[in-house]
Amino acid sequence: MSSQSAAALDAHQLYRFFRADDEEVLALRGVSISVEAGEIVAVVGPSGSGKSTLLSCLAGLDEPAAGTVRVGGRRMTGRSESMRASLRAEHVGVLFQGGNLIEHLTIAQNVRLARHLGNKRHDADSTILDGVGLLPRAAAYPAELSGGESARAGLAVALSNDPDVLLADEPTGELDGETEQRVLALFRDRADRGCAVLLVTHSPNVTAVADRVVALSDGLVAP
Amino acid sequence: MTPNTTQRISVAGDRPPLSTDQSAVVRCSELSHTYGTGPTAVVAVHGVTCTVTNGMRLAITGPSGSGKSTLLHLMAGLVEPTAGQLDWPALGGHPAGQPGLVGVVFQGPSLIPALNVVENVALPLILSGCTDAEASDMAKAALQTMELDRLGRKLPEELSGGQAQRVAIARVLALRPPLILADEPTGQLDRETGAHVIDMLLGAATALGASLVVSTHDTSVAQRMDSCWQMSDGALDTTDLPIGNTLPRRAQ
Amino acid sequence: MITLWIHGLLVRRTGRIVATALGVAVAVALLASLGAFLASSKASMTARAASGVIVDWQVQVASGADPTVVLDATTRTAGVNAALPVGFAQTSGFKAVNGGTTQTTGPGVVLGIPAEYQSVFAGEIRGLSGSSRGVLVAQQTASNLHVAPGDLVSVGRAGLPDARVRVDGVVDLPQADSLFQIVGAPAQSQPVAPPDNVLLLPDGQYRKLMGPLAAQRPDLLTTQIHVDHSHALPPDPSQAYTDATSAAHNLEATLVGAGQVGDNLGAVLDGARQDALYAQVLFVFLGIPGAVLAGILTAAMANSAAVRRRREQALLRTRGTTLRQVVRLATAEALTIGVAGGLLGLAVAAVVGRVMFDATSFGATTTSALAWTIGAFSVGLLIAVGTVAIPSVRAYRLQTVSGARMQVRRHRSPGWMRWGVDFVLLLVSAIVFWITSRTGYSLVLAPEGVPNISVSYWAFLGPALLWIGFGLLTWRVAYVALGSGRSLMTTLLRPITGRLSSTAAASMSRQRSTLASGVVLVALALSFAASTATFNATYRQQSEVDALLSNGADVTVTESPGSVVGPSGATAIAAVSGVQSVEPIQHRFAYVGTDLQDLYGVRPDTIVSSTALQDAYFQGGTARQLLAELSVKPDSILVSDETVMDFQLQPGDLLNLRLQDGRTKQFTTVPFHYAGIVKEFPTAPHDSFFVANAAYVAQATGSDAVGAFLVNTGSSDPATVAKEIQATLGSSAAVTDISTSRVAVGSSLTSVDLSGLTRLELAFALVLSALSGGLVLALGLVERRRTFAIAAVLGATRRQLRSLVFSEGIVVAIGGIVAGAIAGWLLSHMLVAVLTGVFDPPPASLSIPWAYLVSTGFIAAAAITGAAGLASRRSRRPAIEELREL
Repeated sequence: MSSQSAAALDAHQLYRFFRADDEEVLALRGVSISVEAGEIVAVVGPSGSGKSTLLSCLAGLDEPAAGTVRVGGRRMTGRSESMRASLRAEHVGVLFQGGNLIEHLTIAQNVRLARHLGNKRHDADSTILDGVGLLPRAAAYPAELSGGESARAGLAVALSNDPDVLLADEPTGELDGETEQRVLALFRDRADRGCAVLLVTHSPNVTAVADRVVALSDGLVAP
Repeated sequence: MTPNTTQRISVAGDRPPLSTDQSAVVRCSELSHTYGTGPTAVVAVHGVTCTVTNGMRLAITGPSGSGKSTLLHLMAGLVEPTAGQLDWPALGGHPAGQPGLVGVVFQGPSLIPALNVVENVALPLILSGCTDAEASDMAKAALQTMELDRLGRKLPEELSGGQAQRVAIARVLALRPPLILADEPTGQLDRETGAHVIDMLLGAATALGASLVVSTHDTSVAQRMDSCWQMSDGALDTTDLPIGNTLPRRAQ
Repeated sequence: MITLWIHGLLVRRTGRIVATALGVAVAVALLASLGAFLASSKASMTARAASGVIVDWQVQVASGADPTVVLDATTRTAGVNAALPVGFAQTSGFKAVNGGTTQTTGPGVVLGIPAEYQSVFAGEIRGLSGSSRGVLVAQQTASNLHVAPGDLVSVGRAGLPDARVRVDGVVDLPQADSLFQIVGAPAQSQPVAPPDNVLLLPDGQYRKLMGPLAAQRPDLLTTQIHVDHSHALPPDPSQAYTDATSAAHNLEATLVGAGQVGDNLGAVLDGARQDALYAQVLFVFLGIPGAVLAGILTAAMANSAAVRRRREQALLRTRGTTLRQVVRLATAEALTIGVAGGLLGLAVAAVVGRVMFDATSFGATTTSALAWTIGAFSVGLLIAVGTVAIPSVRAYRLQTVSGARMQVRRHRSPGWMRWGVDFVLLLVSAIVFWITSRTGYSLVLAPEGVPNISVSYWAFLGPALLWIGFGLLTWRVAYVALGSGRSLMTTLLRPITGRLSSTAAASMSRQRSTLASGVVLVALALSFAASTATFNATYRQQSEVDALLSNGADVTVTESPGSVVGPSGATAIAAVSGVQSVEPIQHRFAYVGTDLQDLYGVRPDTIVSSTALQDAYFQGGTARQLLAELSVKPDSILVSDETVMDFQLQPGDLLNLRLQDGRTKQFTTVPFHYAGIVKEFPTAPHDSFFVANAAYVAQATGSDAVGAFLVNTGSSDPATVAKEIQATLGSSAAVTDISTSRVAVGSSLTSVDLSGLTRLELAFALVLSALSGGLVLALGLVERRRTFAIAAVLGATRRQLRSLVFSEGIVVAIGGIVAGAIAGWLLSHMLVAVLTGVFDPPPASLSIPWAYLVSTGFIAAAAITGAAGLASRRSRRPAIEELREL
């Protein structure tokens, strides 16, 4: 149990709506969620429930219409774009289902870039790659990786900046059982080291490793 | 359900009538396929011997990189094996050059970006010789079966992953092939949509009297098939595993 | 971080980076080559202008001032090679007695020439017959007095008895205009015609005979110091002009009122620098569309990376890159491309300049060379930043602004289409063109003197807007045709794509933006090539005409004044091999009122066929019509428009001229009727002149003496035939041919050598056409590969796939060529009209370079076909593997 009073990731009453095809869609209708350091929280829900929107808001990639998001006590919402970017670079790791790597840089260079943006020292590059078991493939370009290697590489880059908060959207969607287990083990390991992990998923294997499961339905947290 | 033999499609070229006995649809004998040559060669499939019979519902499971996709592509006639024998007795020859014998649902996005849903589904029909009007009608019928008719005029970029995959399946079904091969059809989809897709596939295979081979790493999908073969490191184990034991479970 | 990024791009995106850099290089190379060309052409303009001046300065000694002092001061001035005093004396007239009759002229001028004058100022006095030393009579004067070498002439002296001299030779004064200029006249005053009656005496004889006038009438005597100044001038005409005029002003300052400088050199350089300015505008005007086109092509190439850019920027944003960092990365990428492309472009331009124009720098002076280099390089950087950096930054900012999950791009037509911007631009272009054509934008020539050029920059707006507006209109037509006209496309494509025609048409309609852009690119490139080539061809055509005008025909045989050769002289000439036809032209002098003008008697029926007479030479009818008038009504006469104004002539009005009777040598009145205006005529000067029926003139004057024979050599080389004729005729006549005339043609604008530049632009236009054709199909390559892979696994044959690509290629090719042809036609007409001042004489019709146009169209089509072939080439791997990768 963490002795910190402030949660590593804290979101309160988030509202977000979109205009799509001349229709207004309310994607988040007062969602509150918090994740402590060392916790793995899984967010589940059918497609269209607002999971991806929630993730974007938590990462500071999207500005909610109302509500606050705090990362390690620092406010993410209501800040300028560059402040959010800096906050994200230093404290948040984001992992999407695909397209996590810059295609014209090797995986090692991708890690380097992420560390540079987060103002972290360069010496830990190889450790990170080793952690996901991709050290021998450090000089490979993203196009040369297999599906499983790609997912692990994405995770490595997301972890490059030693984030306090790790957000992932369907991190194991395309992976087979074995790779999925490896990746989940990495999440667990990271959480054990003090990271707050939030995973959006629909895979029961993922919810199985989570400490807590939050169900999202129609923009609201299901009770 | 017996195959509805009165519904003949007017396609160009002969298609020999499918025999209704348990003849082999695909027969592999010591099949091997290696990518590349020399030191960088990768053996994807080696020494595979198996027979897919008429009306079979088969799942091929295994970890990524085990050669499932390659085997499926070999069965579809899209890739020539580097060694071994491969033939399609019940289909009357190599499916290449005879559109309409084998329908393949691919792993990734496989819709032509510049064509809308109806045009995408109609394309294989046009390639086999239907007129534009016929192809369009049959495409719309297939879309209706998959409950996708309201998406007809949308472009692939406007569809979600699940919708795109279902359109790909509709494209296969429109052609009414006797053999359907699906490569990780639910990989990109969430549980619910995935289950729905498998429903459609099974239903369609039954309606057409077709054989269905699905490669997957999802246990729930494998469970719904009649047979399950395991593939690992390019080798195929055709002993039917009892349902539920296809994947090692993580210790709690 | 930046080095990492750039290095990665260079390694993994080499193709795209190189292609974009090449686009930049093309634009930079074109602009820098223009600079190199301008350098060499301007330098030649200065040299050519200066070489035409014989007496650089004419320093008029003020009345009361001491000529020796002025001469001394002038000689000591830096840059002065030689200074000689020339005396000018007004005479009341000349008289000559010949065969019992006395000829008298009006007031005239007597010049006192130092002995060394003709060697220092070679060409100022041109001997026609007799000796070139001693007492010399001007051609027109000799003709009026009917004197020849050896005859006596009385020189009238105010308040003194006539002086009598014996004529040693008859001469021509080619630079009479400047020789007899009024030095120190106010700038606004009209130049005055040189005197008709001129006699030249050696300075000793001059002092003896005219000097006594000083006692009673010193106002009749003036002295000028004629100066030969160094022609070591800076190559740039503007600079040369400044240097020359400041030297002249310095001398005037030194003289402190004792003398005024008539600056012939400065005047000519002034004309040259104005010509240079006009030429500069002209070249830039023809060349800027090329650079713009290169920029558009580069943008198209860079735009093909749009999808990758969006993904990259989204990812960078996710990783927490700030806008400032993104700008740094984008700028670094742009600068790498811009610098590499720019340097390559400069290198290519240097090579081109050296090879084509023998130019060693990009400008006439160091400053202008630097300016051109930096300018061209900057344009390259701008293009790079605009096509690479700005889209990246925009892609980044788009993510922050919209924040939408999925941007569904609806296929709405672009804003400008809905607003009808293309129609607006075309309308404005037409209006501008109409307005400028009414107020005129052509070369304005003062009647007798230095050409005065006014350039209307407004007029350039017309063609520019036409080009842009038509491009947009083409886009609209292509967009609509591919969209709404889909069923028509299906039918049209059937011969190529067979059963896939509806698929092909559907696919094209979804990509109609890209395809429309392709059609427009090809059309713009082709229209640029067409208009440049047509302009060049018409220019050549008019240069030919101009040379023909000066020389009269391929070969012209000019009889010496005073010699009487009738039309029968044609036989000897016709006998020379290579001569196709010989046409005699009479050359007489006629008084209309007190004004003496040249009169040319022609054979109206035959002259049309022996020399090219343009309708533009005449006013009040076509060439044929007016000459027919001369034939039908033999007493008709064609006059200059000044004469019409002076005498308020209406068609059919009686005009009495006084011509010299060949028998009596007296001037008799001959009636003519005004039939029309003639502005230009072979062998005729730029002054006013008459054209009449030779038979009538011969009958009225009792002399059928021919002034010149116009010889048509057909396909034989004029120079060789001219030599032979000269050999046959001996020294009784002067034989000139058109090739020498081409070189020495007077107006420096028409002598500006456009050929080097247009060769350059035509080459670029060809390259651009090919690139735009091939580029279109290269765009969207990844999407096409995916489409092919999918179609192939679905069972499409290689032939069917090829037909899909070729159908796109054909749409782009046909659309682009048709639109390009129409636009090129419109542009050519507009360009020729707007730049009509460049042509001397103005063209009646365009000369269309079919060979070049057809080959350019061919090359564009070939490039498209080649690109189509490349795009559909057999992939070594099975389609299924391609699909997996994509």
